[in-house]
Amino acid sequence: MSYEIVMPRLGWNMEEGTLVEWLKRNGETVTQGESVCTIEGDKATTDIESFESGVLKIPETSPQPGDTVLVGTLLGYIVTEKGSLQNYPENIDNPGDKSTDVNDESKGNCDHTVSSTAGAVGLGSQPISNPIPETTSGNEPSSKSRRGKPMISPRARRSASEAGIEWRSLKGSGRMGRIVEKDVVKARSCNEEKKPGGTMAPTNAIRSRRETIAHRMLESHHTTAPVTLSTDVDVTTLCSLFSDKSRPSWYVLIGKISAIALTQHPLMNATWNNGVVMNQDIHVGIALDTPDGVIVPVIKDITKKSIEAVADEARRLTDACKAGKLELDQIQGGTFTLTNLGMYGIDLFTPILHLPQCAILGLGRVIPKVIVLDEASASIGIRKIMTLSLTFDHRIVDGAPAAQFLQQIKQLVEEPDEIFKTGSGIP
Amino acid sequence: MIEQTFTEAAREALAEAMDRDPTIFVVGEGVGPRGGNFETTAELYDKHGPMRLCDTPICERGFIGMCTGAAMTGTRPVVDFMFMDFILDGLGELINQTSKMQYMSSGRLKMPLVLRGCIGIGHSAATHHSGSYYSLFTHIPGFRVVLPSNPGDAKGLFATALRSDDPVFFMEHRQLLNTRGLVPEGDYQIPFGQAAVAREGSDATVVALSVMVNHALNVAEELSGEGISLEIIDPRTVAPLDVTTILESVRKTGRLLIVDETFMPCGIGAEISAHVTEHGFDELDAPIKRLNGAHVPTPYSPPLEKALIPDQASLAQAVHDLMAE
Repeated sequence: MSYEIVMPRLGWNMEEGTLVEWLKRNGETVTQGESVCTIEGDKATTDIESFESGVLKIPETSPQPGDTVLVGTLLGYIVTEKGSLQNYPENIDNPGDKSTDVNDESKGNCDHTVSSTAGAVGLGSQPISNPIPETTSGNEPSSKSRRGKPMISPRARRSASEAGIEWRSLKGSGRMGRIVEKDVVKARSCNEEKKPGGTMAPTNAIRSRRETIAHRMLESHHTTAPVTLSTDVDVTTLCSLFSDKSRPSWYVLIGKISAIALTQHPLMNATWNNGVVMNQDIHVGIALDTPDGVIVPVIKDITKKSIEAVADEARRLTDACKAGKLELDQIQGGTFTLTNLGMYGIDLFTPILHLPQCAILGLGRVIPKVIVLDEASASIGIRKIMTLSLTFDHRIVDGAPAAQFLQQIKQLVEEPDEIFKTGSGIP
Repeated sequence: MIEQTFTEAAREALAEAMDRDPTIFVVGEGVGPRGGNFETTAELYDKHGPMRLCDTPICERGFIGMCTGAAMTGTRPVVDFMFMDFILDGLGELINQTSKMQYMSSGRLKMPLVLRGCIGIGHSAATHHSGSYYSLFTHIPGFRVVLPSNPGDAKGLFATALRSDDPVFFMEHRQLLNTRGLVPEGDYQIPFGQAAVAREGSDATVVALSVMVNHALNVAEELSGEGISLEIIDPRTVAPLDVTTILESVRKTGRLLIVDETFMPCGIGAEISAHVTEHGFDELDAPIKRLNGAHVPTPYSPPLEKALIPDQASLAQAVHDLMAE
C-alpha cells in the first residue's frame, strides 16, 4: 500500500503552504510517528508526522524545498510494504536524493500533524495507475511471502515435487520473483542434460539427492546402535557351481542365501518403528552407486522367486538405475540390504544401517588366499575367500543371535549344493 | 446450417415450440401485433392470435404473478420483458413465489416459466435500461440462468428453456441481437450446464460471459500472433454452471481470467474463482484474475459508457497482466 503525503490545510483559511525542507530522504525508511517534512502555513511552521511505517518516496514532480504550493498538492508517498515498490506508479524510478540534508534532530511532536491518505485526493482505494474497467491486478500489490521464503505457485510446487527438484533454490521469473511452472520445467531439463557428465557443478536434483543421503546417513548414525561383525567365507565351491559366464552376480547369490538365513533368523529381518516390527516378507535391497549418489532398489519377495527370476529382476533394476528411471516403489519397502564394495578391492568395512532395517550385509572382494585345510596334517591350499561385514542394530537384536545369523550365511555359502542345484532353479 | 441473426434464431425456436405445444404462450408489452420491441415475436401474432401473444399494460409485478400462476396450473408462459431491467419490479414475486413454488409444493407443482429480455451495456440506454443482474438470479435456489453468446446457441438453449419445467431466465445481450452466425436447421436443444470450448489454447484460460465471448475470441486471434495461446470457455448457462469444463481447462493452462461486462463484487467471476481455487488449487500457476465493468450505474454519455466496460484493448491488457504473473 502507498499513502500520500500532501500539502495539508493547517488552518481554516489556508490555501497554500510552503515545503520548507524534507526531514527524510527519498528511499529512506520512516517509522510511524517520525517527522518527514517541515511545512510553513499561514501562521506557523510545523512538522508533518508519518502515520505509517515504510519507505519515503519523493517523486520527481514533487515541489522543491522552498516552493509554495496549493493545499492538497502531492509531496510524496510512504510505501508500506517492500513488495509494493514494484507496482508503484511509473514516475518514481529515480532513487536519487531529491531532498535536502537529513536533519537528524527530528522536531518531535507537533500540534497540527496531518498525514493524508489516498482518500484525501479523491482517489478512493485505487492506486493511480488502475485502469477502468476494474481489474483485480495491481489493486492490492501482494508482497513477497510474509515468512520471507521465495514465493512459488501451487502448480510449480507440484511439478517440482514430482521431479524431485529442490525449488527453494530456483530463481523465479514470475511477478515479484514468484517461481512458476516454467522455471521448474527449465530446471528439470537442465538436470536431464547434465546427468551424463560427472564433473559438472551440482544441479538442483543432484543436490537434493545428496542432501537426502546426508540426512539419512546422519539419522542412521545418530539413532541406531550399530555393531559390525565380520567373517571370511570360502566361496570356492559356490563359484564352481557355475561357469564364469553363467554365474549370477554376488548380489543375486548372497541375496538368495541371506533370504534363507533370514527365514531362520526373523529378527534380522525386522524393522524398527518405536519398537521391533516383525516383517513377514523378505525384500532385499541392493546398493548401487550412481553419479548422483548411492541408491538402493529392492528385490521384493526374494524367497518366492527362483534364482533366474532374481537375476532378471536385479538386472532390470540395475538397468533402470543406470537410466535414471527407478520408480519410488522400487526403492521402498526393503527389509534387508546388501552392499558390495568388493570390486574396489575392499575386504572388511562398516556399512551404515539402512533405516529402518535391522541389518545390512557388506560384501568384500573375492581373492585367492592360502588357508589351512587341515591343521593336524598341516595341509594348506588356495581357496577363494570373501570377507562379509554384517552391521546390525543392537536395539533390535543382540550380538550372539546376530553372530548366529552370520554363521548360518557362512555355512550356506560354503555348502551351497542344496540351494543351487544346477539347472533346477530352486529355491 | 443457415446464417441467421441472434433474434431470428431465438424466434425460430419459439415458433417451433409454439407450433408443437399449444400450452406455450407469450406475455409482455408489445408482443402481439407489434411483434415485440426487438422483434422477438414478429409475425407470430398473425399465426397464433391474441390468446397466445398477449399484450399487457406496464405492470411487471402483475403479469409475473399471473404467469407464475399460469405455469403452475398447466400452461407454459414466456414472459418477454423487453429490457431485463423491468423485471426488478417483480422481484418479490419471482424470489418469494416463482423460485420456491416447486419446493413449497413438494414438487407437486411445476414452474415451466421462461423469463426473457435483453441485457447489457453499449447503446446509451443509460442507467435504467442497461442492467444484466444475472448474478442476482444465479444466487437464488430454483432458477436457471441462460446466457447465449451466439445465434446457434441462442436457438438451442431457448429450445431447452421452452421444454424446462423450471423457471428459466433467458438473457439476450442487446449487442448480440443483430449478430449473425451459423444455426443448425430444425429442432435441436443444447442442455443446460454444458460449457462450450469456443477456442482451444494452452497458455491461459479465459472464461467469457455473453457478449464478452466475441471480444475474447478476437483477442485470442490477435494474441496468437504474439505467441500467446488462449483457451476461451463460454459457460452458456451460469445456473447451472459447468465448473468441470473450466477446471479441465485450468488443469491444462494453469492460468485463469474471467471477463464479465457486469459488476465485480459477488459476480460470476467470484463464484468461478472460488471453485477453481478450491478444486484446482495445485493447477494454478498464477492468481486468478477477473476483468469486469466498473461498479457504477451506467451513464448515458457514449464515451463514458464505453470507458466503463471491458473491450478488446482492456481484455488484451488483462491477458498480458495475467501472463506476467
